Amino acid sequence: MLGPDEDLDILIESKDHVNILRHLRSKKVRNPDLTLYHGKALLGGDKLDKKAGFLFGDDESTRLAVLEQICLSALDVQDHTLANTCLSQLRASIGNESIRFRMLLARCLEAGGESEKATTIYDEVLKTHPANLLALKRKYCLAERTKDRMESLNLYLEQNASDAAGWYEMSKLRKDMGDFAGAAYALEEVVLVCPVDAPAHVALAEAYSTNGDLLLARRHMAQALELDPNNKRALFGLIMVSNDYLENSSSKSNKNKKQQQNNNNADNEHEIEVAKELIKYGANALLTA
Amino acid sequence: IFTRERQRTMRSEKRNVEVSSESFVSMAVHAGQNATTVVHGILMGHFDQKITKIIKAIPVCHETPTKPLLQTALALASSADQGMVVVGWYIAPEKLDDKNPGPVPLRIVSNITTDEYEPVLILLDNDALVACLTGEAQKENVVKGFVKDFGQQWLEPVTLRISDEAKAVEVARSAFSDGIQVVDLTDHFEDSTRDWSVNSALTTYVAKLIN
Repeated sequence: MLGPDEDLDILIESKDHVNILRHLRSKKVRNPDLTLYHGKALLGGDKLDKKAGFLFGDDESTRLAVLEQICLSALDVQDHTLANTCLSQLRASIGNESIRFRMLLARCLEAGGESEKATTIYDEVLKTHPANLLALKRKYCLAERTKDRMESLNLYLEQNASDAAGWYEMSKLRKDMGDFAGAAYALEEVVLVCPVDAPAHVALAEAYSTNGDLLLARRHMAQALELDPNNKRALFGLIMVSNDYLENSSSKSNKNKKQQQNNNNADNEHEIEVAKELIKYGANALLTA
Repeated sequence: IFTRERQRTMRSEKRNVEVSSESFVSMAVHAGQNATTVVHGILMGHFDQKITKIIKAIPVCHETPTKPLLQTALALASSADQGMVVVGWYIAPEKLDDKNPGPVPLRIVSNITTDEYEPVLILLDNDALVACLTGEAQKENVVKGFVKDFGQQWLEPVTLRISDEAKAVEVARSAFSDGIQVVDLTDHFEDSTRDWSVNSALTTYVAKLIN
């Protein structure tokens, strides 16, 4: 007997609607057309009124999960009539009070453009379940003003500090505001969660460079190139950052000629030599790419 | 070589801005194909007597640019030469109803100012852009120009003219609906086979329709 862990193509060939929908749910595949086709086939067309039978093994929870899945896919294709049908079927089975039902209702309200009503529902859910991550995420998505978006995203990240995507979103918000120090902080969290992701290192290096931290910028550009030697953005970035370091060093040394006895001079000279070699490395890599 | 006095006078002279059809189409299609993000780009051209002529728009990114990206884009654009200089910067904001350039493009345009001339900041009005690309009647101009005001910010509106505007709008609409791609620098970094500064597909398309 086929199960949801079978390959999707095999399930589709065998027209096993239940396991196809289970597979899409468990692998979090967002394919609204496929979901709607098999969902409608399973539940008796547009009315979705086919109830318990041998297909479900009297498993009402499967039917409810499928209705929720069809509702979300209907929103993806802007089929509000079908979404409302799903809500009616769910309401008839479980009533209005379930948190999961109310979250789905809020998603339908969002899709219909009724953001304020949706926000009200999310706020009610968060009063009783302050750690409901989906409600926190949706509130962020609905926020319009930058200040509100920042607040919502901060609330979400307080509950879910290991979400790299959330921290990346924070870095984008900060960059839009021109706060590159804040963007660098957020990208540091992304790099902590995804230390072998080259684009994360490049993004962090660029934020450091814009903020004036050239040594750190150089290190992360170099790390990005360790992970992905063909990353063109990192190669150009390495050249620019190293060049900036050289320019800054030469303007500082012109100003501080009297302080050349300073012990840090040896470290500076080493860093200058490193910067020159990195520029040569970057230029050679670009020319041979 | 200009004296400091002459430089101050030149910078403060009210200049008109002329936007070529090709650069208008490039900006519109770049913004249209990246509908959910901010877009930025370089404006190349000449500073003539009292007119800033924008001849080419070079798309840079569809995200907020950082210093290394900016430096790379300006260096590559300037080195392509073709007898043009950097005359300004363009931005299409992320949100539909956003009519302000924001702090980042204001900082960028102040950093590309030279001793002789002030660059122009072009802001695309998203509402007007949607109308332009979908064929609806436009109530506002798609592109708006700004120069430095008394507060040293690029918020002073400037007179702007698009060469053969009706034709340019029609070509922009047609290029967008035909799916002609505008490749920016960040796209080029992801796939280096896609040409960036020349954008030959768009250039050929525009030349064919405008001429």
